Amino acid sequence: MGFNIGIDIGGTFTDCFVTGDSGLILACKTPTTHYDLSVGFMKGMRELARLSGKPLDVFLSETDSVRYSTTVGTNAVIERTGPKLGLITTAGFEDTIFLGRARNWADGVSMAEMRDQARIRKPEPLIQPDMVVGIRERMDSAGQVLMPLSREDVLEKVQALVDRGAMGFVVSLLWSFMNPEHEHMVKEIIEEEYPEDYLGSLPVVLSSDVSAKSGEYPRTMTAIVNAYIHGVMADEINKLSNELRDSGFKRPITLVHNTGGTKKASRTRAVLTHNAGPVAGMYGAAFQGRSTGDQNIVFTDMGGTSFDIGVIANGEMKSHDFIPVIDRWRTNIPAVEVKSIGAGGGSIAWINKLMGNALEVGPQSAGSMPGPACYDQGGAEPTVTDADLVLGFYNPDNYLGGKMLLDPDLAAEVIEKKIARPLGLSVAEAAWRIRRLVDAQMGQETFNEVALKGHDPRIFSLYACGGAGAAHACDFAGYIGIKRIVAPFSSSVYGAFGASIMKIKEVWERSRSLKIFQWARQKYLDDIESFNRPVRELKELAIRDLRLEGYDERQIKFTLELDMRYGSQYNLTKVTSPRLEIASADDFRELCELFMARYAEIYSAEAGFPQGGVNIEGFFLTAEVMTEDPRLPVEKSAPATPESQAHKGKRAVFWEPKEGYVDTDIYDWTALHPGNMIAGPAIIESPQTTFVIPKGWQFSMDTFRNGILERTDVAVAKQPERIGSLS
Amino acid sequence: MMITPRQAMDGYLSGRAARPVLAPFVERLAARVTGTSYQAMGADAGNYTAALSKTANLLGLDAVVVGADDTLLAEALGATIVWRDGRPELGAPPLALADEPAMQARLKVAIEAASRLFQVIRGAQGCIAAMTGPATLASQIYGQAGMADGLSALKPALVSVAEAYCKTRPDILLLLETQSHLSAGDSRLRRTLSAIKNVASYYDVRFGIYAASYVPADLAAFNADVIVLGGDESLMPEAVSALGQSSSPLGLALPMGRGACADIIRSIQDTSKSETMFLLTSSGDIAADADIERLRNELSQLRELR
Repeated sequence: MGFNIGIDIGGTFTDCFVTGDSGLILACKTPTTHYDLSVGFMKGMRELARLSGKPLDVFLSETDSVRYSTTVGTNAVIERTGPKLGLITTAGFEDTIFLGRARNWADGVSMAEMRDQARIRKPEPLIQPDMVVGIRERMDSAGQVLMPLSREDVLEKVQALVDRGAMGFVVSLLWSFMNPEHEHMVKEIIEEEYPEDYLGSLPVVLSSDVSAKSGEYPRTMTAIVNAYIHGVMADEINKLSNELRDSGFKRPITLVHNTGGTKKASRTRAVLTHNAGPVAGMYGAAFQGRSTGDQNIVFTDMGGTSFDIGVIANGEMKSHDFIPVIDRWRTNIPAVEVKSIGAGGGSIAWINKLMGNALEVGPQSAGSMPGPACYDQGGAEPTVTDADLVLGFYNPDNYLGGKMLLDPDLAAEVIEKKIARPLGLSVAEAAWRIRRLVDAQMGQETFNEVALKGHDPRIFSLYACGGAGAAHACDFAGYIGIKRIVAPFSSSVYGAFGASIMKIKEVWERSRSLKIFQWARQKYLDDIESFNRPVRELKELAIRDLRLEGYDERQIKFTLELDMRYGSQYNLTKVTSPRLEIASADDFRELCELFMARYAEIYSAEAGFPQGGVNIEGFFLTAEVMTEDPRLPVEKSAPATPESQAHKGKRAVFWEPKEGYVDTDIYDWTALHPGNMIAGPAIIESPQTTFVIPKGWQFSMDTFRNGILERTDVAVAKQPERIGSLS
Repeated sequence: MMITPRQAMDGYLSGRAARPVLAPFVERLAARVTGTSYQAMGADAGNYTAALSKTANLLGLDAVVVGADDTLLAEALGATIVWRDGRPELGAPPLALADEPAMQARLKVAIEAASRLFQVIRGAQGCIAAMTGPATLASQIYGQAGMADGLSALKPALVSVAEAYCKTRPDILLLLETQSHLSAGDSRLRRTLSAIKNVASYYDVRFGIYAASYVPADLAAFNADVIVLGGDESLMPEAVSALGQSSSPLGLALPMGRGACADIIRSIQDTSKSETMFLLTSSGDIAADADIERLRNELSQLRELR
C-alpha cells in the first residue's frame, strides 16, 4: 500500500493529509512550530502514523511521496534572515532596484498603510547600495552585443563585493533574457576565481536562469528573492530530509509550487515555493469541482492567520495575469493568483482609539503561540476563535477532535476586559460584533476578487476550506451573493489535500516580442519560425528537466499560453494557444481572433484596438506529467433524515442579539451519511471542523461526504454547462 | 552493550528505559568544582554553563539540570534575596510583580546558561530545565493564605518563564513543587499547570513535576508527562503503584551521596512490585562540600541497577 502525504504549513496550524492506494484517507492538524518548522512537521508524521495503526518507520517506509508546502522562504524574506548578497548589474543601472517601479513603495502593504502617506516608506532593501556593482557591458534589445564584457572589470567588481562581505551573487544584466551570454560569462569568471571545491566558493544566481522575462526591475527582484531565500530553504529541506530518512522515508521530498504543480526539492527554485499552500488548496478545489460538477468556484480558505481567496473559472485556475508581490518585492513568477488578507480564527480583535474607539479585527494574529486566549497558552488578546467559543458555535471539548481543550471562561474573560467593557456591551454582543466584522471583511474581499474582476458571483459555488471555513462561510457568502457552498470532506486540511494529489508540473517562460498582425498592411506575420523557435527551446528545456525527474517525453502534456496585447498597450492578456506549433499565417489569424475574443470578454468589445496591431510579448509553456488522478472514496446514499445517533443534543448558541442564546441542535458529522439533510439553525461537529448552518440555509452531504450548504429562501443559480474537456 | 547518556534519556522518555537515568541537582557542587562561589557562578552565564558541563562530565551524569534553585523565579518577580553561607534565601516578597521575569536577575542568567549548555550537550546528554512550580511560587510570594488568588496573578509570569525555558529546547521542563502540598482538588492550580503544559507541548518539551508533598492517588490528575517523587520516601511505593498504571515516566528524588539510594530504590520496587526504571535526581541541590568520590561511586552503582 503506497501512501501519498501532503503537508501544508500555515501560520497557525500544520496540516497533514494522506491518501493510500486502497482509498485510505487520513488527516490531522498540529500547531505550527515557528521556532523550528520541522518539529511540527514530524509531529504531524507521528500522528498520521498513529492514525494508520503503524509504527512511524513502517508508515514512512510504505510512503511513496511526501509533498510539502512550506513558508520557510517567505518567512526568511519577511524576517530578513537571508544572507548578505552582492548584485552585479550593467554599469549605469546600479540604482534600478532602489528606484523600483512607479509606486512600488505601496507593494505588499494594506490599503490603510497605503493611505498613510505621511508614514509610508520604501522598504529596507534586501541588498544594500554598497553591495551593488555595475560592470561594463551592453546588449541591445535584440540580444546583440554592443559592448563586450571585460574579464578584468568583472574580477575587480566581484572582489569589491567579496571585500564588503558578499556571501553570494545575483547577476542581472540588461536584455539578458534575449541573450544570456554575458551573464553566463560572469558566472564562469566567478566560479574560476572561487571554485566549488574550495572553502571560499560563493553561489551565483543568474536572472536569465530564474526569470527569462522582460522587465528589468521584476526580473532582478525575482532573482534576488530567489537567492535570498535559497540557502535558508536548502538548510530546512536538508534537515527535514535527514529526519525523514532516519524515520524510514528514503525518497526525495517533493515541494509544492505556486504555479500549481510539484517538483522534487532538488529541481525546485526557492522563489516558486512562496504562497504555495493556498495554490495547493485551489488545485484541490479544481480537482474536486470536476467530480461535483462545479466549474466556477470561489475558493476560500479561512485558517488561523489568514483568509485566502482564489477564482476558478470554467474549471481553470486563474494565473499569471498579475504581478506577484513577495513581502514588499514585485516579482514576475508565473504564480497562480491567490489573494490573502489577515482574517482568520486567530485574528485579534482590538479597539482603535484613533478611530473613535472603532472595533477592528486583525490583521494581527495570535498565531499558534500564544494563540487565542481559550487555548490557555498565555494568550491575553481576544480573537475570532474566542468569540466563536463564547457564542456557542464551538464545542470546547471537540476542538481538533478533542486533542485541544478550549477554555470558554478565559475567552469570555478576555473579551469582557478588552472589548465588552470599553464599549459598554455584554460579552455575547461583543463576541457577536467581532464575528460579524470579520465576516464582513472576508465577504468584502471575496466580492472584490469575484464581482469586481468581471465574474458573476451568482453562477459560482463557494468552497469553504480551512479550519474555520465551514463555521463562517454561510455568513460571509451573504456579502457576495453566493447561494451554494461546498465544504469539502477534507476542508480543514485542504491545502494538504491539494498538495497530496498535485501533479509534477512546471511553467517555462520567455519574453519575446512578435508583431503577429499589422493593421496598416492587414497582414499576419510570415516568419513562423520566430514563434516556433522559442516554443521549441522551452519544450527542450522542459523535457530535459523532467527527464532528470525520471519522466519520459511521452508522459508529458504541454500547454502553451501567450501574453498578448494590442500594439504598445500596457496590460497584457493571457491567451491559451490551441497548438504548440504555428504552421501558417492562418494559425496567427486564429491566435488573433482568440485574443480579441478574450480581450472583449474582459474589457468589452468596444474596448478593442486592432488598429494598434496585435503583439505577442511572452511565451508560457506548461509541462505537466500525466498521471492518473486519485479516486476519492464514494459512499452509498441514505435517506434525507439523519439517523438518531447523529443528533448529539442541543447547545445554547447566540445567533443574533435580538434573540440572545437559543437552544440549537448539534449533530455529529461522523454519524451522518450522504443524502442526509439538515435545515438551519444547526451546528454539525466533525473532528476537524465545525459547520455552522444559520436559519435560511440547509446542509446536505454528497456521496463524497462533502458538505453542501444551500440557501433555502432563494433559488440557487445553476452552473452554466461547459462544452469540452477540462483536462 | 554500553548505553550512552543520550540513549538512556531517549529510552526513558519513550517508556523503554534500559537503566536508570542519573540527573541530580549539582549547581552548588558545580560552583565548587570550578573554584567559584555559587553566587558568582549564577551571575555569569558563561561560568554557569562551563561549571555545569564540567561537573556533569566529572560525575558521568546522563542529564544536566539547569535552574534547580527555587528562589530564582521569586527573585525575578521582585522578592529580595538574602545570602547566608553562600546560599540564597527569600527575604521580603515583592510589593508588585515585576514585568518580564525571564529578563530579570539570576533567572535571566539561568535561562541564557540553559540555552548555551543545551545547544552543546543535546546530542550527548539529556537536558532538563527546572523552574519553581506555581503552588510553591504562590506560597513564597503570597503565603499559604493568599495562594488561591495569587495563582491567578502569577499565571502570566509562570507561562512566560516556561516559554523562555522551552525555547532553550530541553527534554523536560521540570516544575519544582518543593515547598507546597499538591492538591488535585485545587482547580486554579490545575489550570495553571495545564497552561504551562500546553506551552511545553507546543515546544515539544515534556512537562514534569517534582512533587515534594502529595497524596499518591492524586498525582495522575495533574496530567504531567514526567513525575518526580520527592519528599517522604515512605509514600513513594504507593505513588509508584498508583502511577504505574499510566505510561508516564517516573522519577525519584533521593538523598544522594550517602550510599543509601540503591537500597531505597530496591525497596520501592519490591513494595510496589514495579520494574520501572526511574529518572534519579537528588532531594535538593547536592551540598557544595559533598564527597565527590563517594558520590561518583554511588552514581556508578545506581547506573548498574536493573
